[in-house]
Amino acid sequence: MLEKRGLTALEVHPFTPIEVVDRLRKSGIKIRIGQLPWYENRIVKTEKEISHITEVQNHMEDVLDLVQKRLRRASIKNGFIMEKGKTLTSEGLRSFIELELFRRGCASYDTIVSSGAQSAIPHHVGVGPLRANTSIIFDIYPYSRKTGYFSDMTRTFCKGDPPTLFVKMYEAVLAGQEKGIGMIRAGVDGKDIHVAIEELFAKAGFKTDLVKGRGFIHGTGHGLGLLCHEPPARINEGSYILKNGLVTSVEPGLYDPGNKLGVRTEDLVQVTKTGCWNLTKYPKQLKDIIIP
Amino acid sequence: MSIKRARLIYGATYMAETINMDLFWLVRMPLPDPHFFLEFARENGRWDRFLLVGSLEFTRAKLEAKNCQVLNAESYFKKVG
Repeated sequence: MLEKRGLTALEVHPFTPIEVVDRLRKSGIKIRIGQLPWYENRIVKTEKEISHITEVQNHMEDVLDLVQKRLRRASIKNGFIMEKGKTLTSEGLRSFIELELFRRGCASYDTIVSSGAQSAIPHHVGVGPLRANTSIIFDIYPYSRKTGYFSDMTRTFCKGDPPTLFVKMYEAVLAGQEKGIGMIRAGVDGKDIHVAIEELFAKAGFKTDLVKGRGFIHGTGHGLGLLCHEPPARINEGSYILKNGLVTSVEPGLYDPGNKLGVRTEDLVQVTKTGCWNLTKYPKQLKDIIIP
Repeated sequence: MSIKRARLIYGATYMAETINMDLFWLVRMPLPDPHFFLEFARENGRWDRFLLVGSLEFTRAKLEAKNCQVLNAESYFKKVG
């Protein structure tokens, strides 16, 4: 096909297996490795794509509502959350969330349901009994089995009495997220948003220490669409200028392994020329996430 | 109209190690095995796009694949070896 068109060189997608590239080179074709984004337009989401993402988001919010209702009905015994005489576990709630999503036409794997010390490790999926009077992080990222589009949301709850430090961390994270969302618009550098949130955290007494895994130890957001993490993988990496139409998460978090606490709040937004649309409607004020 | 540039995606679009969502984004067809997808840029900025599929997927690809021409890859496989 190349010969017929008078070509001797081929640009290959960067995910092409080396074995395939080798075979093509041996057949005499000059190979150049292409760059991402392969299709620039894939970053800019159409109205139809947004409706696919919000459909998944709505299902996820319905399911998290069911979880919150279960937590409201639950009791506390010896610092653990109890339901009908049994301890509620990360595994039990994860299965519940994933089954309910499946019933709604979505698939979800490795949903994070982590409490206490586990919540201080951002990607700890959560195992064992769920603890009361501390953080419980729910990070859910299902996709539609019909359209393939993802959504992604994180909420941090506390069943029982929240420690003073938790409240301080939560208020800082919420303020950081509001700061970040307020800065988002086409043409803004993602790195500037990340730095502004870091500075807000530092002023609130939460300096980041990457070596100790304390503070704001991950990125501010990532692109999302047909993959949960699609380009841009980190809006704050290097210098990434936000594009009109991009869908990105905004997910600041604070982690304190010494005090066994973690807080993260994640919304999805679509970047516009003048700001952004928040695609996440689930409540996140302090009064909404403390469950008596 | 002369051709300026050729690009290749080799990948599956569904449930595979070689999954490539750029390919899925364009052809909108679940392909659990990797396939060759060639695109040729014309001087006027338009692209000619070809999905090469074997006998297993040929009929389905003709029905389902979007934004490309579907070719039966068997003869091309013989050439490449």
